[in-house]
Amino acid sequence: MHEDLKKLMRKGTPDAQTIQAFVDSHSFPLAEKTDVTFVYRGEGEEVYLRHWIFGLRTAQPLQRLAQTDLWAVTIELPAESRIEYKYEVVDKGQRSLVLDPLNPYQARDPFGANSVCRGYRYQRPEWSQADPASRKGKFSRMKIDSQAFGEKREVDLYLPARYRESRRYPLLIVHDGHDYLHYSELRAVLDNLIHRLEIPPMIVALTTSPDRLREYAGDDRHADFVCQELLPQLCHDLPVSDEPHTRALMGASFGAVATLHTAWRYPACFDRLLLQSGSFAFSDIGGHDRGPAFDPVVEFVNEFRMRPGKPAQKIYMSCGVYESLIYENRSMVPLLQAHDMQVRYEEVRDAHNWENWRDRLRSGLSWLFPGPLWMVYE
Amino acid sequence: MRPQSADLARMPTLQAGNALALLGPQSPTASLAEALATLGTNDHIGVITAGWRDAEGEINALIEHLAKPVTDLALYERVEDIFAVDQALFNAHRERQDILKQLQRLYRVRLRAGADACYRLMKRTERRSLVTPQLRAAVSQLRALDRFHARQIAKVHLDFEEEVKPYSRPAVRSHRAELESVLNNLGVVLIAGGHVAVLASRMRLLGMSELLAGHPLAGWSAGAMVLTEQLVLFHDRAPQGRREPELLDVGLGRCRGVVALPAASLRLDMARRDHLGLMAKRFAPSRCLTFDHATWATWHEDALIGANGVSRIRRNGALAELRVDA
Repeated sequence: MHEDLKKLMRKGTPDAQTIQAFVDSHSFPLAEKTDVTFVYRGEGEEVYLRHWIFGLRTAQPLQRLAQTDLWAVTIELPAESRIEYKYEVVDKGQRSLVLDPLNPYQARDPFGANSVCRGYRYQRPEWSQADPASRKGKFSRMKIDSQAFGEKREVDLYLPARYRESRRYPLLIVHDGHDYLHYSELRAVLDNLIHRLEIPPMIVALTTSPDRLREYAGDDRHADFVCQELLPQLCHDLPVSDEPHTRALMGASFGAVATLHTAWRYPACFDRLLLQSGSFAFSDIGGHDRGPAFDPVVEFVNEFRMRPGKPAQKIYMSCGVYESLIYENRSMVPLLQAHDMQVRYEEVRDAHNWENWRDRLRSGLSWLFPGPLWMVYE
Repeated sequence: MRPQSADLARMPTLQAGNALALLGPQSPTASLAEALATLGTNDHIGVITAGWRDAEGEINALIEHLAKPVTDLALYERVEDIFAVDQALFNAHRERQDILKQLQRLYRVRLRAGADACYRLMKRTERRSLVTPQLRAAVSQLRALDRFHARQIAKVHLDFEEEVKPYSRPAVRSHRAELESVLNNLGVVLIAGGHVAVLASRMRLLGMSELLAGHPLAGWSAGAMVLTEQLVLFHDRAPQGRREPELLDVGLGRCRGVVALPAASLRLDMARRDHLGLMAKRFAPSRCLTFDHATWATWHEDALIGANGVSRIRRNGALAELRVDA
């Protein structure tokens, strides 16, 4: 337990005023070099820490401290970790999941929000926050009458600041583009990295699927849509460079599967891939236990592992060590390298979430698309 | 720190062509007008913004700052025009650039190993009397490598000029004649920052060194770099990590004995005295000068006549303020 909390309790049961003073003077959770103490204040019969760290028991009980309304549990958490959590409070027999009322840091995702525990020395990257000094890109929208899906699809486009029709731009196609915008601050990241010359000005196409668990799971229709419909239309409508090494696909989780699958089906289209926490489930023998949504993924990844070919020249991969997919991602690296692909792989102390993916964007994008920083002195 | 008006009043006003100002970045605030006050400008100013590439000529903010007429010499656009009509020159230029890129990659292989040896030796704990000569020899090898690379680059340029004879080609001659005529009506010529390789290459192709003779010159950031003898690239804080400073090209050489390091506080890790010291030793006797935002220094006939906020990196990696009387 955190030393300050021990000190608080050492003098006997503190009164409400003393507890309030303690709460007001501390930031929660209480992070130390190797441990974090989670503190909940409120009434209830039981309180649990619900987190998404693969390998740790998912519901850790908090202990009530003496006769107070303070609850606490200490878990090991190495430096630079970042995890998301909620409290599960059992009160009058009712269970409810709540955000940590003592912690202002929250992360949003398509399912709602979680509290964020910033471990010792973790800092949100400065470049991931909107910078008033950075020139802003603009958005527009294109509609594609997709033969592959038999319906119209909308794709949002990010055009960099100082966009000019007369220039040729690199192209990045992003799976789950709107989620990257809303939960990974993709707009601020692009504006900042381009403004700071860390990546070149680029056109970014943000795609979204109405049925991602199906379409992103190694679905040939999706690959056809990207390479036979979206890419030609982007090249027709916009000043996109026509060389494969100036084109990238990216995605996270199932979006990473869609990225790899699309590049594998059309190996000459994209020379650069950015794969974050890919759901690259496979089975060397027998089946898998990840549920039916993974059936087509496993089928694709098994096939890919048998004959990977060369879907791209340069691949950036990242995965959190607290994810259940860490083994699958680690396994992918030597396979890709053995087939003459240049791979940069980064592991971080984070889990399967959009802020993990946000925090890796600078590293991934600037490696795939080095900006003119070295040459420009303004 | 910006100079007070009393300081400006004490600075000599020059009319001669060998007056020169090097400045740091001019955004978000500019100090150009202050530096120009020491150079004795006439009413009409020329500017080279080729380093901005397709944004060349967007100089409204500059005109507003100087409150004087400014003519952009449009070097980027002129070279585009030349390439459009002289395909052979374009191809030869492309080939030269390709050779230079290959040379740079080869130089980088040796540079990385040489610098790494220096840093490793700096950390050795054997007797100082044993380590010091080894370190000196390692630095000396790096200096030899930089000189070798400079000679290689110079030879590539010389071969190009002998084989292609760019200044005798009609398209280039025509633009040079136009530039000469424009320059006749201009006093000081400014060279803006931007992409330093593009800026240097466009200026070289048009033979600007000769055309600018006799004009007071002021360059900021990349513009300051091209006015010196050697263009040194550097950045300690790039997203993919630090790279050892590299000699890229030879400059116009109007400012001798100086390596210009624009935005040094942003780009360099000033706490790393080992890195800074090695850079100072590599390029000595030239002085590595930091040009942070809005800082400047002025010279006349190679003599320093004004400085504001510029620092010199000493061989031990410490910074010393550049002073006129030093």
